[in-house]
Amino acid sequence: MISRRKFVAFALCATITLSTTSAWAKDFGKEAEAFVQSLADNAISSFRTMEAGPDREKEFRRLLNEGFDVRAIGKWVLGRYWRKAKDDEKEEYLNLFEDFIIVTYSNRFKDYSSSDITLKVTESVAKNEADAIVRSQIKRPQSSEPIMVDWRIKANKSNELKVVDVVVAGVSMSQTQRSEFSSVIKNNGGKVSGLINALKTKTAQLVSNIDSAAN
Amino acid sequence: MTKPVAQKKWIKKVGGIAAVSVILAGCATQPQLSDEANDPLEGLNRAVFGFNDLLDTWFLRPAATLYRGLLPPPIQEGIHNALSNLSTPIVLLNDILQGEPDRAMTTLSRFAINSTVGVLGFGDPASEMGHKAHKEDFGQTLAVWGAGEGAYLVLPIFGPSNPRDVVGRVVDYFSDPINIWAHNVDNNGVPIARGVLTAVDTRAHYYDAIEDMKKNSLDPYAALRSFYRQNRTAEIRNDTGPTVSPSPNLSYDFNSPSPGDEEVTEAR
Repeated sequence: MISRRKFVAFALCATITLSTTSAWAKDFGKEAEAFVQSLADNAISSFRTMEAGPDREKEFRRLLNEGFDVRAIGKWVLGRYWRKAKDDEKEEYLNLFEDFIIVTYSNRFKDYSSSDITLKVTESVAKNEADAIVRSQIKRPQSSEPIMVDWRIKANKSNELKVVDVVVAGVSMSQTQRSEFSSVIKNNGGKVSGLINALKTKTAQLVSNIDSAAN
Repeated sequence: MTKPVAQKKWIKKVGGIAAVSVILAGCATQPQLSDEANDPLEGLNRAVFGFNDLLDTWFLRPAATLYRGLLPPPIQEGIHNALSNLSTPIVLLNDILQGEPDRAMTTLSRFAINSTVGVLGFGDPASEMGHKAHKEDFGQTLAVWGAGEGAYLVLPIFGPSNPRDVVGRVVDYFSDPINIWAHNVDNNGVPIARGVLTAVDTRAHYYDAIEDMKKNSLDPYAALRSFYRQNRTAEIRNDTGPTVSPSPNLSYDFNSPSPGDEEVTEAR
């Protein structure tokens, strides 16, 4: 049995800890909200003002690299195979993953932003002062039904905010990619090199699609 | 005058108990999304997936493309709304079975408003009045009652599923008022026409997302499997769409691992 005094002390401690963390967390939530809004506004405005071509592609690459923690995502997406990979495989994989994610996200952006879309941050919840989920609504003129997109924001070691996951209708892009990659590796005899080859082929194919669409 | 109040209290109480048990059940059955999906029939499933993909390429995708090309977006949205409206009895039944009186009231209001003011469900004035749409089906009810999802299954034509959702589909089919009516008057045409229209409407509605997955995926089978399982999990805990989503719901998502969790990557 816990003595009454002990219990009270414990409850007090818990309350204090909880309330201070939530105060910190609230600030981080607001910070993360502003971060998502400005990232989205920048991306949308660069797509509106710049013409399709290598310049816009470059600008988008910059925004993605700045806004997303591509390396952390890449590492996490490899899951338990990260430890199994050799050092040179890790490096090659991370570089390929960066190319892959940038080409897929810029494809996505192109497909969805053909017309006037707007993103509005609606709310956020912070777990602590380095981890928050920002909920946003994307409105498209062709549909009255907005798409709900959640952004998982974390502060990295140098305290910069980064997107680490995008969740649409409860489906996490990172989680989906992680199970996909795991399946590719499994079907290649558990070898990370199998995934590396598949990434190479896929990225090359996606890039050539973009080039042929641009011409 | 006391009776209605007492009744309301009673409803609240039951609702509260139901809600708590729903939350508890939710915790107990919260499926752990892992990289290794529960998929012992993967070989067979992949074959059926391939078959479905061919069906899509030959029939469904062209039909959806035509549908999108021929009908202006407002008409497409109207048909989408009308089809959703037809399935509200199923939603209502499952709201009740899950012990969700508030959501049941929302569903009831939606049906009443959209079937009349919304002209047979083509319009969605209920959403503008604050009664936002949500989905329920018997598969979700079974999950709320504590049934696990079981092994992943790909059904011919119907696509991703699992034993729980197969049972759900069958129960939904037989508890649908229109299907009951059609069965009683020996009319197979109506359920078939509705099924085909729903398939084309769904394909057209999610056209971009499906094309995206087909195009950008290294392993579309694994991507769809993961997508289905995550989406069902979100539907079961009632956290889909820009509908009823008070902040506390959001915190639920923190339970799922995400990039930046060093321990997750490193500890294995």
